[in-house]
Amino acid sequence: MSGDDSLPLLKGTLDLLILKALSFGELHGYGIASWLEERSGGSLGVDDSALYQALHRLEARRLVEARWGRTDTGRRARFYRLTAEGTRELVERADTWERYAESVGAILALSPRRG
Amino acid sequence: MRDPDRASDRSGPRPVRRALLRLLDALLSALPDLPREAAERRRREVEEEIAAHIELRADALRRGGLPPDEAHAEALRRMGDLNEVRRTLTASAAARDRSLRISTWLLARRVDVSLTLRRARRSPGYTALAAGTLALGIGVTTAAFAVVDGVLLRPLPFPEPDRLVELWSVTEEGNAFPAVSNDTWNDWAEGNRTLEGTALMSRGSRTFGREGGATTVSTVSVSGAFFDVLRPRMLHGRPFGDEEATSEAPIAVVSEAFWRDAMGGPPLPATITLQHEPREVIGVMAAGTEYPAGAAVWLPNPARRYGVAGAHNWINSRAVGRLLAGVSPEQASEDLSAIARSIRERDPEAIYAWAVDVVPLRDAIVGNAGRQLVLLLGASALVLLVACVNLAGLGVARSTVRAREFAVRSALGAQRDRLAGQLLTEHLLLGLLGGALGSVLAWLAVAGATDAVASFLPRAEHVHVDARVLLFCLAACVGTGVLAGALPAFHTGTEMSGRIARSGRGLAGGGLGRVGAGLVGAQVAIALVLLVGGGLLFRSLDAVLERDLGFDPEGVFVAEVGLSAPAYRLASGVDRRDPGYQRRLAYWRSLLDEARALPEVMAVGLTSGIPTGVAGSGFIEVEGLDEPRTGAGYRAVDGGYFEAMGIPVLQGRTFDRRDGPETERVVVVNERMAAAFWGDASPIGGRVRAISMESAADPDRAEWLTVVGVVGDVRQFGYEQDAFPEMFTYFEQVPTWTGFQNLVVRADPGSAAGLAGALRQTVAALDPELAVEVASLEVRVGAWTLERRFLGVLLGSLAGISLALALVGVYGLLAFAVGQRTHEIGVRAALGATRGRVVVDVVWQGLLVVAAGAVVGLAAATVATRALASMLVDVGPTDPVTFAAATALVLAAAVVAAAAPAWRAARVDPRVALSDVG
Repeated sequence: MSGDDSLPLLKGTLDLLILKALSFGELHGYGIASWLEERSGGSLGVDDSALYQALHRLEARRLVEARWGRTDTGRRARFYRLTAEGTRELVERADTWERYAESVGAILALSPRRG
Repeated sequence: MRDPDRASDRSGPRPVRRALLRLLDALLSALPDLPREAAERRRREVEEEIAAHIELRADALRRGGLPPDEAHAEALRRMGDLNEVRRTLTASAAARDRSLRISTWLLARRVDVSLTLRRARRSPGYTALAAGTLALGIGVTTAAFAVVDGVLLRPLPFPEPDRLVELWSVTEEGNAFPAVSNDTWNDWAEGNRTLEGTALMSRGSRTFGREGGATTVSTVSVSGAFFDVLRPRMLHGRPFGDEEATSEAPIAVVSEAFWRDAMGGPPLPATITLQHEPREVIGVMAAGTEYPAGAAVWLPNPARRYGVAGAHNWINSRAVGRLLAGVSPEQASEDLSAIARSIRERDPEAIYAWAVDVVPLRDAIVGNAGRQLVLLLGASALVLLVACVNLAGLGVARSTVRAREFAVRSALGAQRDRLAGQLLTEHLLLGLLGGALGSVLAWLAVAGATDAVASFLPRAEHVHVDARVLLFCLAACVGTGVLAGALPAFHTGTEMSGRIARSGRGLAGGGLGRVGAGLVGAQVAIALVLLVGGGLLFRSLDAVLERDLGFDPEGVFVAEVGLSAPAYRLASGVDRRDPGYQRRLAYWRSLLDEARALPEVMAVGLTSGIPTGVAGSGFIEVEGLDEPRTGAGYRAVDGGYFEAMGIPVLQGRTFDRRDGPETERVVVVNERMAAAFWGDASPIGGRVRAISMESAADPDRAEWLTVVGVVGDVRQFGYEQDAFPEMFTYFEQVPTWTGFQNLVVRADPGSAAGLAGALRQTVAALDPELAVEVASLEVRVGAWTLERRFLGVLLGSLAGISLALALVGVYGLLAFAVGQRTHEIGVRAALGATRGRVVVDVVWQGLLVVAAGAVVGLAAATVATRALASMLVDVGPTDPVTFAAATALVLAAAVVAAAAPAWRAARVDPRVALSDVG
């Protein structure tokens, strides 16, 4: 469930966002969630359960890998990082996504021709 | 991944426990997770991940200003339905595990395997030595298992074989005979309440006529229920039943081998000529179902009672039965023994009717072989253990040498259990390689030995290296690999932590020395146990062969001839003018003349029973001696028999021209019989009657025989059986004993080679209708000790192999120690130690280890050799000579094994002490 004022996340984009988040380094699940919230200025609503399902899905596809480690406060947590395959996936899909977003944006920016 | 917290358990486990955990870790790292453990671990991890997330979010919310309980509630809310999250995460984790963990495990193993192969290529000597060691161990163990499996473990090839039993007659003294009389068996068959059915079997032989000459076939006459009781699989045709057995129909069932080889595999029914009469073969039993063993033809047997006095004692047949479902052999034994008691009430002379032993058919068939086979398997397993320990020792030594490699890999991030897993993988691969070679060895051994052992090993034809045996072999390989790999893996585990920081030389700590020495000592101990066992068997063989047989088999050939053709049939058993009887005498006289005329022949004789063959014995009556139930061996012979066999004449004479069919009945007795019935007095002139052998149906009509001579005793049944009282009648005087004779021919041992063929031709030329079996008496006597020789050679070879392996161990240990201590030796040399001193030191070091192993081995041998007790003759299971000789052999061999490393140590240049500062 997401906050009331947040935008619903488009299907399929969560995986990409997670890969992006991990491209900056190893993070645990909450770390990814808060990274997404911060970067989107709180406008992206990340459903926590959806986040974990996505993480495990990515792990099963070997796009990310996980290990147990410790947080700054010494709490045991599961840390995720990109695999080589995950990096490749991120590059490819980000590219596709950008081109897609561009064309959608371009279409939306069109104004009806007058006259 | 395993929980890393477990290794740093703060409760501080004691060293032993920690060591065990490490070993377990090493073992587990080489195996995929067990399903239940994995599921539990996944559940825990999902739970922990969710908890961590909620806690972290609550912390953040709290820092943002929310009160703690509200922060926690909000964090929970944002996670959504907890149970749903748990379920989906656990499920996806399981799916991930399935693909990911197995593939990472396989990946790790693939790395291990490729590393192993690379190492194997780099050190072919070690790989060959290790694989060869294992191949020997696994080979002998697999071969032994194949034999045990084929003979002992496999069920008999009949439906519900556990219900099949043999019925044995028991005497007052408790002696059980695998035999029964027709009359007693009929009482059992009619009176029992515990058998579904029972059949009587009577072994014999018949002349089988075919083109190219007659042969003798082994037959068994079976009563009507036989095929109902046994239910063997029929390859072709059908068995016969009650009606055909009772009417003695001219039919037969034959073995698959007989049908195929002797008959040429014709369609059924087919007619054969058996005992010079036509007979219809109506069925072929499937291969492997031949029972009793060795029979080729099954004939109908009416199994009628004789119904005369004494008939209960004519135990010339065997009985087989099928227990009713749910009845134990003990219950059947009680039931039948009650019948036996009632027989004795009616006939107090029935000496074989004191009780009935009901013996499971498999035990009856396998007999004593079972114990020996288990012993053999045990000895083979010991050899495998030595091989295993040897490999473990080599592995430990190498893991120490490789400590630097492991230290580097460890520093590069390899985990300890991965290194241990690598070692295990190496040994598993070695185990598989050794096993592949070993299974070939086993196959060769089984293929080569089956024919050799068939004469004394029951069910030998069922021994094969098949899928079952190969499965055992595979299990042995894996077990060996794990066992041999566990120690080096564990050793690496314990040594690593201390080693990583250090580098360079000095890697051989005291730990390796102790572990290695322990392993070598264990090998020596096991080898010594096997050596002592083999030594005891050989000493027994020696003792047995020392014994006097009472005859000289060297250069003697035996031709068994039966006058089966109709021309030789007797009209009555007593009439000496019977034309059949006259033809018989004429035949034997001309056979003796022809045989005597063969080149190189020194003596010829005839006998109805020969040592190594069938022995007849029966009740006798000695004149003036009131002992109604006295027995003696009985043979019908001619005068030449004693000279041909080399049996000395001690008193009086044997048979000669004075004796003929019509003259006074005469008899020769052996020394034991003379002593038993006449004591110190001379038996010459004494009189004796052979009641059951000459006139069983009417004892009063048996003729009195006058003793004319005494001959030496002869061992009839083998080196391990004593001679017994025997009497020899003149065969021409006993019409009923002239139908079958053994022609005994003594030739010069050097020129006896062609005699067998010449004898065969002589018999064939005299009457082509008759069959003859020619054999060398020397070979038949040799068969008495075949089993003993075979067992001795086998155990001796196993001992030899294990000793060789142990010596490789000694050599390896010392060579390694010398290699590691080159620096120290150099220092000592520099300080003035002589070469002799260094050599003595190294050899002494080896001898100490071997001596310690020998002490343990001797102690173990005193216990282990008890298993051999029943096979020992004139030697105790703790025979000091054998123990001393085996120990001396091991010590002497150890000195030899230590010589090369000692020589190398002596050649260490003192300058290494200067140039190679540690």
